[in-house]
Amino acid sequence: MDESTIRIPERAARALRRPLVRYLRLLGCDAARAEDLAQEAFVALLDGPFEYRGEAPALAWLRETARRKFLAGLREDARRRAEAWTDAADRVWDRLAGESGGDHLPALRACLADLPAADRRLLEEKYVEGRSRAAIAAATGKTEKAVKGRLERVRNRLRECVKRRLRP
Amino acid sequence: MIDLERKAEDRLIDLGLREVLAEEEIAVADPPSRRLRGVLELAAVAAAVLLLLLVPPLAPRGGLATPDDDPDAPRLVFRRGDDGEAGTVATMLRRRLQLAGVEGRVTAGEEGRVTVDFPEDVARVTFDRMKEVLLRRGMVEMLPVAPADVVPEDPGAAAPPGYRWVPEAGSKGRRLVEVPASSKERFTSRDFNRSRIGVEKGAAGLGWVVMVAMNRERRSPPGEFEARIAGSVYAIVVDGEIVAAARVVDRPSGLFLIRGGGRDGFDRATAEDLALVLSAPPLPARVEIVSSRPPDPVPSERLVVPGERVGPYQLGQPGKNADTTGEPGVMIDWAIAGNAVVINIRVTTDRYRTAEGIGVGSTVADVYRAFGAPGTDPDEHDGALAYPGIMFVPDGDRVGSFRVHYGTEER
Repeated sequence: MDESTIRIPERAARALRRPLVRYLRLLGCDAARAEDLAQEAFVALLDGPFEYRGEAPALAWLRETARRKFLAGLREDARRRAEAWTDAADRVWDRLAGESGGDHLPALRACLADLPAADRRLLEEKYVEGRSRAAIAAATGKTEKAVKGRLERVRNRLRECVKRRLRP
Repeated sequence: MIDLERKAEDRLIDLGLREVLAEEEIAVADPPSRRLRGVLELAAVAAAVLLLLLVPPLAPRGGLATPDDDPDAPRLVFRRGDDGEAGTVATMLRRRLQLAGVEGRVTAGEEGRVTVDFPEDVARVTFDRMKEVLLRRGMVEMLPVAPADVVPEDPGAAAPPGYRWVPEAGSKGRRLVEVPASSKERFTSRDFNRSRIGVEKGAAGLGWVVMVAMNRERRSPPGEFEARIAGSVYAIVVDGEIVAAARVVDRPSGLFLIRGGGRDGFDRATAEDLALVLSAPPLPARVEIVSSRPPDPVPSERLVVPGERVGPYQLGQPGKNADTTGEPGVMIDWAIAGNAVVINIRVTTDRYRTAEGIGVGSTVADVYRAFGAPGTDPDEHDGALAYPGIMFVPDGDRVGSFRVHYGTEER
């Protein structure tokens, strides 16, 4: 093939591949993703209106293209994650909040009434007084990790209690 | 997928806990039904008689006193002025106290009353500030100030179509603001990202600035919003009054700076109060003060904070040449360091008192008892004070004025 008819000389393409992958790794891609995006950038270069004027401008063009594709990929990932999240939230809403949007609240009140006083106090400190875990830990002489663990246990207990009460 | 559902369940429980616990706290504070109250009152009388018989008398300010039973504890009682749940008002007021970092117990009671109990040692300046902040309904609008060529020459003239006059807080003046037809151009506190509002010391000459970030929805499409709003002068209207004429400057991070109108910009206290109003949700109803019981002036009053501020005036404000504040009876002069920052404030007024209650008009004997080195000649006040940061200037046998110093830099 006559080299003047292709958009980028093959030797230049080979030379530019490595720095392009390096750049994509810097952006946060794992090795496979970096290879994929580099490949897509080269394809775009070959398909698009690109005129080869040397390695440096070619690398700049490839970097910009790869960067855009990287960002587009992130947006797509974020959209997929958001969709998965809203689907899950909808299922939980239907199951616990129900048609009234507040079916779970009477159950939660009943479950709260069954809690030991110390757990109840812990929840008030956290949710009503807005105190941080560190502040609660300092006031009670416990570690922050211990406070976090206890809050999680109380919340798990409440969650299971609410689900049990709402079970048909 | 299951993990996500578990996460969503946790979040729903979290939100439910906030709602239910806040409601229950208000319900506990609300008086019980009348019949039950009668029984409880009888029980309380019986318990009180028993306590009187069994327990030795406590000192008047004993450690067991609570805001409810201490008739001297600082307290504000509000009443909602129109329809609105007292419980919701209480929650909003509680939120404002939290944002201000001020301790206080908020309870909703009968007839729409909401009581705010402050700790016994709350500073008077804090009490007064919170009184003002809690009283505001907090309906915020940010409206473009009308360009000069639109403002009628006759200040009494009606506003041109698409504009309206808005009174300026603290003065008899008013300003013409644009009322954009499109809701896209109108901003209220709902458009702010409330978790990203704060204050910072601006560049020289800007004073303190308030940082505001708009919600992502209002910043869409990215770039266009910033371009539209950047450089415009906006009036920050709170409850129908302009509290600041602000210039909004775009920043790459999506934050906007609101700087005070006038030559010197905001002082720190004004910027913090504005940030607080912008950060807190508005009250669902107007409130009025039914009763106010401020803290004792001595010893808790802390209008003078050494090295920081005297009343509303504080170190670090841009220097002024004027010796009056526009406030009747308050005379101030400023000592300015080479970097044009105030390092010394001298106040001449009978309103400001030190942490120990010493103020203008106090006798020199009082001053020396509190601050002076024993045996110091009263005339050697400049170098003989034991209390760093404050200097008194005697006038006869009384304090003529006092100065607040920035460390040891000023003389």
